[in-house]
Amino acid sequence: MSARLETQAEMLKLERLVGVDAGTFEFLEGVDAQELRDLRERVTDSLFDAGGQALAKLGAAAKLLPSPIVANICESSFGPLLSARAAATIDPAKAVDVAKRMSPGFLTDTTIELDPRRVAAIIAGVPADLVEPVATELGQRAEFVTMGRFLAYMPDETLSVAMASLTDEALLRTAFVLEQKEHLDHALGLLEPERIAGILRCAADGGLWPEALDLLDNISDERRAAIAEVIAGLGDDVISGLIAAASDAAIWDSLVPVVAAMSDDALVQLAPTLTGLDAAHLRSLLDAAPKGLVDAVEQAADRVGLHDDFTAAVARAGLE
Amino acid sequence: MPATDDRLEKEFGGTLPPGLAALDPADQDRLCDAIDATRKRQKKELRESTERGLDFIPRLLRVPIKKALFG
Repeated sequence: MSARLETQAEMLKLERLVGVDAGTFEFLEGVDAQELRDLRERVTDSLFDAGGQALAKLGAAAKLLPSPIVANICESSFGPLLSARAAATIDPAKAVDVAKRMSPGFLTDTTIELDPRRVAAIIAGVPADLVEPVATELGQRAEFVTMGRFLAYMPDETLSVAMASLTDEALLRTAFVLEQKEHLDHALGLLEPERIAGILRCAADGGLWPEALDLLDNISDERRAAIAEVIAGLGDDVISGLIAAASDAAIWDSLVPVVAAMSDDALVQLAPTLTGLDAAHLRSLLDAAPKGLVDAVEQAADRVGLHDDFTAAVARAGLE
Repeated sequence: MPATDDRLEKEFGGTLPPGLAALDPADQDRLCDAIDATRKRQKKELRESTERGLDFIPRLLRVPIKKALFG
């Protein structure tokens, strides 16, 4: 994964944790992502451990009350922060029963305040019909970091429902800040195949290629190859946009595996775009690509009668 | 207020790794200030919410609930 993108994702998560606007911690862009992750987890623990003893007592008290009354007290008095903190101390079955009696809006507010690591058993037990409205609202509120924290803890059934509730843009932005990205490949496998093309078009239309490249960076070779074929078929404008975005964001290391995953036929589709690239972009791409890939692109250009153009483009880029 | 390095080190829970340690002191302060502000805001909200919540508990249940909460 591009170290630069990884750090950007961590900056967004840290900004969300302390409730400041995205971009506030721009000064962290040179810091290693793992350092930011360690800091975020440490701060999360410190915030969520506060008042632990009192919260445990509150959880014990909740046992004495019927779920409808607990839900009512939470919504009319405790508010989302206290309700979320207390949730971690309540029996998961009771917590799910209480959640079912809350309004979707309040449940969404409370979800934002939860630490999913502490309520994994509750997340696993939340039924799909409760997940759908909350996921929809989180997407509408652009709470991508919250979604990204929760998806890693959802079983397949509710994970599918949550992803189906998000727009292509929300899904792409959520994937970018997903916790435990090793789950991404499996999660993408649960999506309807036609959504992949939609997500890629959304990346092209919305200037979200860095997020898309990050997604492609975190999936299996097999799935990346299938998606790379879709990209190759999206047309010159889209591919040029992808290459320009990779250049602007200095994330060639993320683009190369996508091009490398393309079949020879897909490279043939890509060849005219590459041949027409300006010198700086072509040089950046070829510099980052392994020799075998450059040869493959050259052969693709040859197949579509663009060998001389490709050679000239390479010469313009100052490469042999 | 502790020195900037100490503040961020305390938040980090140990010696700062190179990237965080290399941050400009003013940026370290901005980061710590944001974390502090969140901690204070949440502490205040939790306290007020707990106090407010007891008023909503049915009268018959207040005694056992208060006993569970405060011993």
